[in-house]
Amino acid sequence: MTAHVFAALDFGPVWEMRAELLKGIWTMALISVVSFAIAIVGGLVLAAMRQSRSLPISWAGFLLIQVLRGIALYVLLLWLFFGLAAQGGFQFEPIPAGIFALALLNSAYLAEIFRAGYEAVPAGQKEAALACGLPRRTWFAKIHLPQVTQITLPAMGNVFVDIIKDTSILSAIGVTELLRESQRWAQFYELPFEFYTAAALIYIVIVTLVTFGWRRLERRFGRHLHTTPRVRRSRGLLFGIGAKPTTAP
Amino acid sequence: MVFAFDTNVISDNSGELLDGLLLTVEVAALGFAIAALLGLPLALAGQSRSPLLRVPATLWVGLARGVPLLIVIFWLYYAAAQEGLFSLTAFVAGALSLGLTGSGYMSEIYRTAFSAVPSGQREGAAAIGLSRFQAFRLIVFPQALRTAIPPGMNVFVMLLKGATLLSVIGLADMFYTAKLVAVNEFKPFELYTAAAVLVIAVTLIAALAAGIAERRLSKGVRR
Repeated sequence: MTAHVFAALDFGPVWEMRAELLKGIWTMALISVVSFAIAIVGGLVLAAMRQSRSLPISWAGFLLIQVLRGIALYVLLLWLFFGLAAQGGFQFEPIPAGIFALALLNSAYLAEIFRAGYEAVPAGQKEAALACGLPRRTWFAKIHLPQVTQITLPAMGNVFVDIIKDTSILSAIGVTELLRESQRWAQFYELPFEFYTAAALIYIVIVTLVTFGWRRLERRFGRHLHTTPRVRRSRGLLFGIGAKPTTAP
Repeated sequence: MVFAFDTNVISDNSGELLDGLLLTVEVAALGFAIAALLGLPLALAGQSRSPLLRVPATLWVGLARGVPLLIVIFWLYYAAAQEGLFSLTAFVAGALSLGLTGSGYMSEIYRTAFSAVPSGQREGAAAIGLSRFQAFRLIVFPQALRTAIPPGMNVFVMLLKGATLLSVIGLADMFYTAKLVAVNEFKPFELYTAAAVLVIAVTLIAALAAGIAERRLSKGVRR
């Protein structure tokens, strides 16, 4: 029964359309990188607002972060793309609308990550640096920032992966990224199983590659820090397959 | 154009919108229940010494966390039906895709929660003669659950936001209603704003409920 079902699979059209799918992947990559970069800036601004000594600014930051974390990307996209356009003359192009929405929502997540990282550095580091006579600028650039980066990088990687996955939602407003291309050819060839399976596999490969690359980045940024002893832990081949469990159940 | 916000179109359709909102919350809750139930055995299998359990579990978690929700929805709703594997209603396909995606995240949350329980608790349980299963059920699991609840609620909020995507496979949820009325009445701004406000309200309530649940569950804890 199952053999009969899968004998009918035809991945030929998927391979024929590889150039189109690759174009979709490029669009996805471009949107992910640009919106992640903007989200980092936005996150820093929001985190700075939260840290501000002025109460209204700090509350505004808090409120913005809460509201932005509560909005669903799909809802925001349709609101920006169709809602605002109907309200009067303000028409976004699909890709800028997508980048704006992704950057806006993820800047709220990044703001929380930055704040947590900023507060996670032990206070003794600052006291010691200032007691040694380092100027505040040197303390910030050479002592504080490297440690904050080290702490926040893993969580930032998660946000980046989420952005990559969420670009698929931009297909709803007509951005021709990977899912939109797959959808188009799935309907054209009437082969949804083949095209959606291929799309899922491509996403998995990209997410895995980005995760590996990000781990290298984390190690690079952490190479001069000796706060925790480096434990060599087998990470396995793919998704940690073959890795030894760290704790016994 | 002058700024005009037509509240009538919202109040006229508020009944349908709220019915749809209920459906959104229902499908998200069902998806979360599936995720929470699947996540527990996944987390335990991922910690197992036997590779027969560990490898499929880690593969599952990687897939659940790596494939975008929208693709899972399309896959379960269109692709599987084409191959004659199974054909699901929009509601079941939606709840299942939310559950499968969420299970990967829930398994990670359980895993960190289990490792956050001090090892002295397990040793103590063994010392007073509890079996491994008893120790897990009576000692480790209740304590782990407490640490798992705040991040678990984050997953629920994530699924709730993901549930708005289910209108693409025609689930008549709140957002589907909003889209329909927006097109019919040509009032997209009003309806999408209402939809956004409703979603934010529900997620904020969920976050509040998480805080209350966390406090109630940590009643017996000394600080």
